[in-house]
Amino acid sequence: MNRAASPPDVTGLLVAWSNGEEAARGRLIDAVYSELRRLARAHLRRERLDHSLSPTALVHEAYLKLVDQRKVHWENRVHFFAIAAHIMRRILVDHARAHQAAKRGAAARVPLGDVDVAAEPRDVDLLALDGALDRLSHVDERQSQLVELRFFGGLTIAETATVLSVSPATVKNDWALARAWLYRELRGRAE
Amino acid sequence: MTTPSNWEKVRAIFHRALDRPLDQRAAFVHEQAGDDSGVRKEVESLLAAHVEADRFLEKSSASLETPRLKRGARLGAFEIVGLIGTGGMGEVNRARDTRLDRTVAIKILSPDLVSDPRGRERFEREARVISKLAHPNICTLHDVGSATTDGGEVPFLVMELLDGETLATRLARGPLPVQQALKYAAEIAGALAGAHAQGIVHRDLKPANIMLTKSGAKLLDFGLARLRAPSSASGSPQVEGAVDESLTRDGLLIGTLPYMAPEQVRGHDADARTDLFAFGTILYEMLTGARAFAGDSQADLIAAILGHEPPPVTTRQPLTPPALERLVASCLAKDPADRWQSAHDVGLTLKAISDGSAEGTTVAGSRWRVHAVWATLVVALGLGLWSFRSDQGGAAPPPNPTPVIVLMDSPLPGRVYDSRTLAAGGTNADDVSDALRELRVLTHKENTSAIWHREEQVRQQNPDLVVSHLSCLLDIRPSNGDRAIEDHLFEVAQNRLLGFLAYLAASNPRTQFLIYSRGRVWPTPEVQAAWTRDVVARFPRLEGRLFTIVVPGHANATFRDPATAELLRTRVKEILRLP
Repeated sequence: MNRAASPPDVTGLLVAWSNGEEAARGRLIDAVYSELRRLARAHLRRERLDHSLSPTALVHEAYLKLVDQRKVHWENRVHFFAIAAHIMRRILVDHARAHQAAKRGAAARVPLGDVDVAAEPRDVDLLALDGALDRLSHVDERQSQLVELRFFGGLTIAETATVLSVSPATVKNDWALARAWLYRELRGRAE
Repeated sequence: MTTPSNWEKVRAIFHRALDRPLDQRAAFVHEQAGDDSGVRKEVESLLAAHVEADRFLEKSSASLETPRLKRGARLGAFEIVGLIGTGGMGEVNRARDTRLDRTVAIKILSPDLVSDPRGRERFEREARVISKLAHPNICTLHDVGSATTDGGEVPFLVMELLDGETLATRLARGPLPVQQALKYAAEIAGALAGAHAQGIVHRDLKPANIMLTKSGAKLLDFGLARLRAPSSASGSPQVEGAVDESLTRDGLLIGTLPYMAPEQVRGHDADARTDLFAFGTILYEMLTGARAFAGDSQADLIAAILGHEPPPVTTRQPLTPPALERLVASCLAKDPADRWQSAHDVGLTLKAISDGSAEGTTVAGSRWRVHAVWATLVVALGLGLWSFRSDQGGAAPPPNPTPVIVLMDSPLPGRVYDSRTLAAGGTNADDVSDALRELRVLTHKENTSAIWHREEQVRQQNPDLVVSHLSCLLDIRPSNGDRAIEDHLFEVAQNRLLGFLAYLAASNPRTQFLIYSRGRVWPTPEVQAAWTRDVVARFPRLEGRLFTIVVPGHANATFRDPATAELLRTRVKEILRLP
């Protein structure tokens, strides 16, 4: 396995960022992004089933690989998952934008570096969703972040509750609310 | 439109509304939003979107984790041949069983189903039960398994591969000929009877779950709705309970709204009779080509399921045998207790109708004889109803110039009641008839007449006023003084009663309704007025026709008390505009 000469100290960057070092954020994103690509490539090489990759699995695996869990607090977890989910959103949305000409609703293959990740465009227009999420963030930033974590990061209710530091019941209700808001928004614009 | 300024209020009301059954949300939002119509409209709009959104984003998120199997991929002994389609539960692939050299269907399920040991255990337990279903009209489950992928364990089902189209596809082209509908209906009833005998309830019976094959109708996804229900938690056990509850209450995720029984809409447990309701809606649609329950919005649809009777089958398909029309109507009774109780009986009756002997007495078996008696009774009542309708339509005077008061309550001694019912127990039917002895009073006691029977009587009598106790349709059981349970039971009773009244209001346009209850339900005149407003908002037909009266005094006060009786008399005369 060809690993980068010196793996980035993601744990250190996370700690630095949560201590207020804004510069750490950019380097963190770079590190997580390249790890996600690397993982995707490695996965395809050793898979037994002929299937596509799960972005969610990637995010989790990237976390396990990059972050020394003995050294991070839950705040660091929040930041990591928020960033990873945000990156997955960017990767998927950028691809959708690049292939805007492609018929909406057709199955799409999203290149992540030089491998494919299965996207799920069947009933969600990712570009429209991206725009709606931006609008939602103006109403309630937390709702928008929740959708990133759940939809793009693939976190469960329980995990999302942990990273957002609220009760699972609140996440469940907010998730319902955000989905309703986005659904209405997207339906309204489609009509 | 949402603005950041009212967002927190919208959010808070939305959250709490979610914890309430579908049919109570509108009233709750109304109450919570108060005069702020902006907030109220926003929450209503979001709740409607929530119901419609169904699995929006959830499904995508889940299927991001579901592997796409390609041609040639192996799942143990199974080799994927190609994708057949994508259903609510996951993708269905055509596959070859290399050991037995036969072609099968493989359904890939969400990894969430087995993501924790409890989920896995449940999945396997349910699958074992389903696989025991051996019936010519049920799609056979051959095997279950799971494959290891990057997304973790992915469970799959191996099923009989069926050739044909779903009933949903067929219905898109219009109604079925009566004889064909009868044949399929008998097969579906037989399949339900077989499954129910083993304690398995379908819970999500709908045309899309019925395959029409050369060898007849085949039911798909038996018991899967239940298997799916708790899975979406996909998280740690401590959340699972909470999510479970909301899924059950939400109802929507278990079952499909247009085919859902009232009890499912209300978030109650489903049983065999719930399947029979769905069966009724499907048979209705096969015969008429139209859905039994429809609405422009989810709220309308829910209201229709809870309170409206669909137009009789014969108004849409005149060739329907009367016995078949009655069978459908009985399957669609709002209260499970008033429906056909067993799919087996439904199957026998369908067979008899199909043989052209439905009205006859040639069918052997005591069970059938009982049904024949019921059928006769229905005919008699039906005639009564018909004559009432023609009276209404023509210039003839109303059949009952004297006001008829119908009472529908009578908690009797010797039965077990919860304390709330006991508190109301003194105000029984006899006391009310005594209090109103100057008027012609027809008394119905809850425990001595079946609801549909009473409904028919009410319709025949065409009363001016229906007097009813607020908890009169309460399914009585002891609650050990647990206030939460009592409140829940009371709410159940209240909803059943209101649905029933709305239905009566629709069939008897001039009847008015007087509801009496205790101070605990309406502690202040404001609460009493708000209650009426909410009910009328839900059932607009009751507008101007719904009156209330609080039984004053201590918890055991009754209409036997002269002052209370006088209060009732005065109120009734007021409502009926009597001197």
